[in-house]
Parts: sequence; C-alpha cells; structure tokens
Amino acid sequence: MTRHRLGLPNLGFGIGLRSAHYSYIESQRPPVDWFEIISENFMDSHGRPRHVLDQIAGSYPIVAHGVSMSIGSTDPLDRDYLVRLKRFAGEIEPVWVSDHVCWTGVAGVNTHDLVPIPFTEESLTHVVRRIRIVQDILERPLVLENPTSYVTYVASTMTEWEFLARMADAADCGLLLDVANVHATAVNHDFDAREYLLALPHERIVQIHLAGHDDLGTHIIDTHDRGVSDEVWELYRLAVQLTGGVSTLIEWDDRLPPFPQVHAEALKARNFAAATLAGSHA
Amino acid sequence: MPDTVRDLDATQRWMLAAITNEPDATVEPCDGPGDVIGESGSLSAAQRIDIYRRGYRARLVDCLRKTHPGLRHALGPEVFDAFALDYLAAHPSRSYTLGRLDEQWSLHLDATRPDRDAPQRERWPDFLVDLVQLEGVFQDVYDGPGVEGQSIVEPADLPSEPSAAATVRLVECLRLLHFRFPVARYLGAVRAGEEPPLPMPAESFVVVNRREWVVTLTELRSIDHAALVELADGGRIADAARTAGTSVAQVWKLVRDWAALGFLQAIDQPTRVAPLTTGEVFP
Repeated sequence: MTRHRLGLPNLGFGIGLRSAHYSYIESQRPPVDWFEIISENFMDSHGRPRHVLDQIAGSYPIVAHGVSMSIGSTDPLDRDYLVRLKRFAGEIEPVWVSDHVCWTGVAGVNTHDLVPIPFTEESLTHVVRRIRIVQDILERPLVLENPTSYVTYVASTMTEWEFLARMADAADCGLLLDVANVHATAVNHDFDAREYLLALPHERIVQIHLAGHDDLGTHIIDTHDRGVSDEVWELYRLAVQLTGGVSTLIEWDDRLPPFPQVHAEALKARNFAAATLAGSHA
Repeated sequence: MPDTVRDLDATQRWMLAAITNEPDATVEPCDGPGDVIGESGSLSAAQRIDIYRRGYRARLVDCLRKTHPGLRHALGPEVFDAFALDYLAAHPSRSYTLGRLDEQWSLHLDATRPDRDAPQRERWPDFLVDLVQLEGVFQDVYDGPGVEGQSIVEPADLPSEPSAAATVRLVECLRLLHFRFPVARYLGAVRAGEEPPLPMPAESFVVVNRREWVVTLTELRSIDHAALVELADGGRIADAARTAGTSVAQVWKLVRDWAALGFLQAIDQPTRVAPLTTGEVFP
C-alpha cells in the first residue's frame, strides 16, 4: 500500500522564490510556509542567488523544482546534471525534488520548454525506467508535474491521467498536480478537468501548483503572469477534497507584482483549502 | 536504444525540428503535422506546433535580452532580436542551464561578420564582439565563485614602504580583459539607465570584479593593466614595474589602489628580500 504522499509532509502554502523578491524576503522575513526554487537557477550558482538561497533555506522549508531533467527524452539521461542535482540537494536539503513529465530536448539540443510526450505504452515503459534510475541516483523519491500541453499526439493510446496514474504506480514516484495546467490542457484538448482529477492516484499527490493563465479564446497559455482564475480555484477545491489537502504553491513568474500580492494569493489558497476541508468534515 | 523507443525517438526528433526551424522550413522526415499531431476544435496541428515554436524563440531571446542589455541598447530591440535568433539557429542550447546559452555568441558574431573575407575590415563588428564578450564575463563573475565572507587585502594591510619582492594573489572572481572599444564604459552607462552614444574605437583595458555580490567594471591605463597582468601571473612588484616601464613605488601605489578596490586576496612579502637583478627600476 502506498504511503500517503510518499510519507512527505504537508508544508502548507508556499511561494515560488524569484529574484525580484530577494530583497523583500531578506529584509522582511515574511510569514510564508515554504518556498519552491527552480533548481537550475541555483545548482551552479556561487553568486548572490545561491547566497540568498542559503539564507532563506536557513529559515524556511525549501522544495527544489527542476525544469531540465527531460525525463521523457529519448536522449540518455544527463548524468552530469543528475550528479550536480544530487550534490545540490545534499547541500540545501530540500524537502523533496520535483520536475515535469515531459521532454525538453533530444539529439543533444535543449529547447528549455516542457514538451509533452505521446501517451503510449512505449512512452510509459521508457519514462518509468528512467524515473527509477533517477530515484536511484538521487537516492530520494522524485515528484513529477503534469505540464500544460498545447498538442496531442496521433500516436497516443491513453489519456494523460491514465498515463500519470500508471506511471506513478509503476515507478513508485510522487505527483505534483498543477491544477492550472490541468485546466489549461483540458480547455486546449477539450476534455473534462474534473474527470482528470478524479482519476489520479490521490495518495501519490505530494504537492499542488496554482498559477494564472492567459485565455486566448482558441487555447489557454500557461503564462504565470497573473492571479489564479476562478475556474482554477474551483478545480483546486476539488483537488483539496480528493487529497485531503497537500502542500500548495503559487507560481508567478512574469509581470511579477510586489511580494505581498503574491503572498496574498497564497493566503487565499489557505482560506480556500480550509473552507473546503471544513465543508467536507461538516 | 531499445526497439520500443525508436518511434518515440523519431517523434521527438520530428518535434524538435518543427520547434526549432523557421516556420516555412521543411521538416524531415516529411510527415505533415497532421500525421504526428492531432487537431483541436479551434487549432490545426500546425497552429498547435506553432505555439511551441513561438514559445521557444520568445523564451530564449528573452533570456539573451536580460543578459545582454548593452548589445540590445547598441542594436535596438528589433535588430537585437534578429541577431539573437540568428545566433540561436546556429548554436541551439545544448546545456541543461540557460546560464550557458550565450557562451558561443561572441565567437559567432566574429565568425559571421559581413566583412569577414574583405581585404579591409570595418570597425563596428569589433564593438559588438567586444561588448558581447564583456557581457558574458559580467554574468560569469556575477554567478561565479567570489570572496564574500573571506578576508581580502585592505590598503591598511600594506606596509607603507614599497616591497619590490612582494607578490600578490588576485581574488578569484577578478578577470583582466583587453578590448578594441571602450565597452566597459558603454555597458556601465547602459546598466546605470543612461543612453550612451555608440563609442568610437579606442583600446580599453578592463578589470571585472565582484564585491559584496555586486559586479564592478574598472578601466585601467594600459601600463597599469600590464603591471596587473604581470602580478596575476605571479610576478613580483619589481617584475610588474619592469613590465609596465615604471617604478616600484608607482606599482606599489597602484597595489594600494587595487587593494581599495578589492582586487587582492593576499600579499606575500618575503621576510628576507631577494637580491634584485640588474636593470630593475627602483623608486
């Protein structure tokens, strides 16, 4: 039987650490439950970014979220990257390490984008094998996020949620459920986001992401440049019901407002979750 | 590669080509987008791939904009973006980190300068190459190892009397550079929010350093630069004086100035002064 959230804690309501907020966080020490960092922005740094992270890691729980593992690529796993990530994790002791169910490049080229994989038996076998290797190298569980998708592959033979559920079980890894990405992908590919959430193995969901998006009418772009939409808050309510509440993080990358505004969004998530759980238990 | 992964590999290579190529480029193998990618109710397969293609360019060009404000100021936004796309097409990222995205850019600019094979070269490409090189070093120093939290040599640590036999060790984040244009002055002005005019050609000798996490650009006179290069190579104060064609006292004064700028990690003064060779310049 799977241990709930792989035995990982519920950290509460966190915020993605961004350089524009360094000074505020250093001077104000805001009452944030935890911070998520982009691993690649810090793992090779010997400058101010790493100095700030070291200070913050002394005061707040940290989760290391990567964007370059390329777990779905057919290129060999980047051992140098994994060794550096392992060393970095050993230094800052993140509560967990996460990345995305995607490929970022092939033939040695990195697009630095989170490109979806075809949902086939072939992909599933390939990804599961690589997750197990990564977990062995890192000597810690890997938590993987559903990226926003703008394409579907003709070759796919299963749904994204079926793929994620089977992947997580077969690889014994955790899931980072990006509720905003589920909403965007559901609109882009015309499926029911609620069906997606209901089908996931909820005990494996370690963390939730919330973020803003841009609805262009024909499709939704995952922009992370504004507050969370009403549709995503509603999906979050369902995700909280299904998981019983897990670590939740606000992602805000572009058109970044002052820290208190991002923090207010995290506090809104806290209130949403509390109200949902209170309603569930009533 | 296992047989089971071959189709997945072919799909990824096809997608990579579709994402990184120009919109009207032929993508091999010559499957149409609809053979690989499904349509949505509102977008064709080609339109859906185009979201990734545009996102790829936007993301990487934006990264180069952030690390190369000087070049962007010099070229203007539109020409900068065209230069950036030309570079990315020739040198797509092969690293897990965007921190290395620009590492071939100055070489690329030099290799693709329009007067490359002309008998007489224009000067302006030199400016662009120099500027990109400086901006790359700026980033390296910003995020590289530094000496914050370590003791470094302060002017008060130096004896008042010049020591011809002394050697110094420079801080590890310090870089000594030589350019064909005054690019440090230009970049410093851009980073300060000014609108500097394009400079005329003029040799410049630059020290890039970092103090308390802030990168500094210091322009030196050529003879001072020569003296500092000699010291960086392990030479004694007397050697630096000879290289620069100046006196030990003058170099000692420079060393004091450089200590104030945080250039010196350590100074080693032999307790017993070594005999000096003929021809060394004394104060």
